[in-house]
Amino acid sequence: MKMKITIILLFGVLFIFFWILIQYNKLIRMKNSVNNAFSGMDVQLKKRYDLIPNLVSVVKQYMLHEKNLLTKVTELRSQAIDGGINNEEKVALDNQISGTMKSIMISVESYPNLKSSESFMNLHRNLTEVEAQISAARRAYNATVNDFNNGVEMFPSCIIANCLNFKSKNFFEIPEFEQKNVSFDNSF
Amino acid sequence: MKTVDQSFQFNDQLDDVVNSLETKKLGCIYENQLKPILESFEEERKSLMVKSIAFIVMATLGFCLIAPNLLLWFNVYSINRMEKTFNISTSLINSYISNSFLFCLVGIGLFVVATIFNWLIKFQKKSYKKTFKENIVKKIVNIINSTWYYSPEGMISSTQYYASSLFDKKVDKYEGDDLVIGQIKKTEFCLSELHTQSRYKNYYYTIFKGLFAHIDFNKEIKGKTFVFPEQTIFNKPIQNFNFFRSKGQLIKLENPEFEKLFIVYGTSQIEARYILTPAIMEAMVKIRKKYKTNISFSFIGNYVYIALSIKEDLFEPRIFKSGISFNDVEQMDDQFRLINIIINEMNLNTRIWSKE
Repeated sequence: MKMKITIILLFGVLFIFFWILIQYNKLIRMKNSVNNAFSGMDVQLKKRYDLIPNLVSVVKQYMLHEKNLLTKVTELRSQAIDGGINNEEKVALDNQISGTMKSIMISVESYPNLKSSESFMNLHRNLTEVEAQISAARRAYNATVNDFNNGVEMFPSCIIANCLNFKSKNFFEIPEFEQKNVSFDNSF
Repeated sequence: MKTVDQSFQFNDQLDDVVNSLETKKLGCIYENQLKPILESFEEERKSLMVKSIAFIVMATLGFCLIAPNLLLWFNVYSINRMEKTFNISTSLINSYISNSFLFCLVGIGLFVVATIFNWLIKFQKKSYKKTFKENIVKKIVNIINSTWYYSPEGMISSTQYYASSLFDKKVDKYEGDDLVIGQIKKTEFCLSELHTQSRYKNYYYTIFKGLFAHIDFNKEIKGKTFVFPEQTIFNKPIQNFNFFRSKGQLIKLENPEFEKLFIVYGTSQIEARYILTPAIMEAMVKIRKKYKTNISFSFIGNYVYIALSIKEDLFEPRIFKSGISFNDVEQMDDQFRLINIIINEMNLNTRIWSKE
């Protein structure tokens, strides 16, 4: 009888051990996916940072009245590439850059010569491409965050998540204008 | 200010108005141009129908005369044994057997005549089909867009079929017709009916039957993305095990209606979302609802490949039913318009990304 109880207990302990192991690995995999998705987005954000100086140099000859906008976007870019900021600050900065870029694009409407110049058209094409890629990367990030948050909040995996001190992550807010097929090109 | 729902409602109403206008336009063309041609085909169709019925009657009669007699001949030994064992008189059966040769000969004669007849009808059918396609199907294609090229016997090449990676099974029989090649603004496309089959022992079973198209895609793609129809409600839990590993990772998207109808696999999570924007997902849902049949997409290289499953033979003339039917013409028009719908709904003419 004692033997039987010992075997059952042993199986029970083994079951719990393997369950914890599986849940732990699952959570770690989810956490890594989130980080991986964020770095995927980071790559696209860097592409946009690289395009900003070109944009400023092309439009500054025409847009004399919008100097503030150009200065602002340059400053935001410098802050973003300086480093030393965490992911949430990066997200906030990125949202500001998106807003400023959109304002610049709307202002371009008042400068037909600039709009039709070949260098601006090429730049605009590249920017639209990067914006579409950023939007896709944000959605991919949100999908991994959704899986991660389910793991952290749902029972019974939430027990392991609590032990590991995993907290739910915030979703990336996708601006309304990016939810359309054509991103900030709507201004044209 | 309009809400998103109001905008969608407005778009749907606009679509309805455009559709009804197009139906009216097609109705006018049908009455003035297509109906007289279809009426002129009626005589030939009726003659073909009579010949086909005659063939069926002759072949059935021939079979009925040959089969029972053959059965009796093969059992002559058993009948004789029955006579010896049970002492039953089988003289009536035996006398019939001796005369059955004549019946069989008549049956064989009917069969031979029916076969020759069928062979002759085949030629007539082929020429009728050709005339129908040249006069009716070609005209419908021209109504949609006069610059499109139509070939009744052409089909999308097997290279493109394999390049789509939509169907993995080995093809043993590759058939197709009704090839349309054209361009809508900047977007080039190619569409045809296809029927691919695979052989198992002596039987052929269908891999794909329906409309197959490849369209120039407006974005640069490095990997592969597949959108398959959601087959059953039991698929959802199975998806997590990812049976389509060769197609890449399972990609879960945000649109619940889209997720109900389709299942997505791809080599990159980001690229799949770069292709399947919320607007494109909406468009795919709309297309799926319009055609009410399984539809698969793959995005590879410079193209989007589309496979729309349809069980019936498309763009073929009917023989046993009157060809003067607006519904048939409308259905053909609807199937060819698939390309217009896909290009417009998926905004494939928008060339604002790096690919020109």
